[in-house]
Amino acid sequence: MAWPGQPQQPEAEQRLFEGHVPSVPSSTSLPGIAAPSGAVPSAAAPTGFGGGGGGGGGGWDENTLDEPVWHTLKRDVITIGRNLRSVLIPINWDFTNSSAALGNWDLWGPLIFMLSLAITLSAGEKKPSDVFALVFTEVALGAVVLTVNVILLGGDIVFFQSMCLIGYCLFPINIAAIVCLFTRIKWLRLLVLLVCLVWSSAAALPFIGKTVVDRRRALAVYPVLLMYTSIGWLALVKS
Amino acid sequence: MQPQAPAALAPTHPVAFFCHFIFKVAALVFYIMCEVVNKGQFVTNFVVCIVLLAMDFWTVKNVTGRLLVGLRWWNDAHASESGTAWRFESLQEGQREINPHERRWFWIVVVANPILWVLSAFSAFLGLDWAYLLIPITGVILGSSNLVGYFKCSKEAKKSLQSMGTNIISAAMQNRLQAAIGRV
Repeated sequence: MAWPGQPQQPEAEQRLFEGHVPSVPSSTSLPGIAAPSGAVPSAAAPTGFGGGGGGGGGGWDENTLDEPVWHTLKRDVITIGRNLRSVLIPINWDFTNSSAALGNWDLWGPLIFMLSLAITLSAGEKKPSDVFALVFTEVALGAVVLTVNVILLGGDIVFFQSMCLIGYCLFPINIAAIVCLFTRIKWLRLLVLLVCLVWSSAAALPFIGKTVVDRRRALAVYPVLLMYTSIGWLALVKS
Repeated sequence: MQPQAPAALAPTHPVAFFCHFIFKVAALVFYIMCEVVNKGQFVTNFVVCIVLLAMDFWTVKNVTGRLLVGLRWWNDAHASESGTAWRFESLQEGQREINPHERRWFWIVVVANPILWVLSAFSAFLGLDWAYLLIPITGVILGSSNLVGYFKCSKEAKKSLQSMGTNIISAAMQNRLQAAIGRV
């Protein structure tokens, strides 16, 4: 059995027309899969898909077909972490332009946040399925529609990048929803919600605002704020 | 002339093969059985189904496609000025042999998955179960994006193989011709 970190070494890099099939070593499935097959299901859930399935950009080794599974997992987890950091702590990290920050978009973060938001908002309700489905649909459809809106306004943003951004900026609203779950003090809920809304908006607006011309910036930005406010409202009025 | 190793003896990946099936089957079965078995717990059922679907998507995209058929597709947002570029990666000639048995089953499953979810979506739609309809819709989206991605990837692989093949053939033919002519 090959050692996990070692890529599959074909016995010879024979070219096709030299007359015989290359003999690949008989070690079969990568131990990277066999060993943690119990761990993969739990670890695979929060890892990157979509564009984040690759490292994106120029830093990717083109020959990744034989890499161990841990490598792929690790790369996706790092991508999620990086996206989260760059979206939610909107200071200028190292990037010269902020649109480069989300180059390695991935949709796992948005999925996690959307699910946890829906769970939090529907916990303890009389009809949890309705609230859950409502939140899920609103976030998913809202993200798609908002992205289409920005694109139609002439913004030069990539479709999945903007979905990724809108999803990641749900994180503060997630925090607000969790707080609203645990307290019923109205002014506390309002305060937390306002802080989180401001945080979300400060994270989302620079990305979206930069991509459209000045005249249309408000048109692109307003629906995003509206969507976050409506979701925040759901958290505020939670029983 | 050396005896050719039959392609059917190419290395197999039993664990990846198993995983290729298990998440999809688990998601479908759980979806169908959930209202029977776990009545009333919509949120739990939903989250479990979505998580299984997501794990299946990731596994097929990143692991089983690579190992079973040597193909991979992804999206590169930086690549071109005009937006995204879909990248496809396939095995170099001679890098690894693909087991035809695995390849056949890979494609069967990847094609059957969205079809089954479309059927489930229809049944949920006709049963007017709007809340549960979200699960088959998500299943269709994820399954078909894998299908389209791998299909395009395999077309790219075939195209590059053909062009490389003609290049090599012509180069080899030229060498032989020159050798033959030189010997005369």
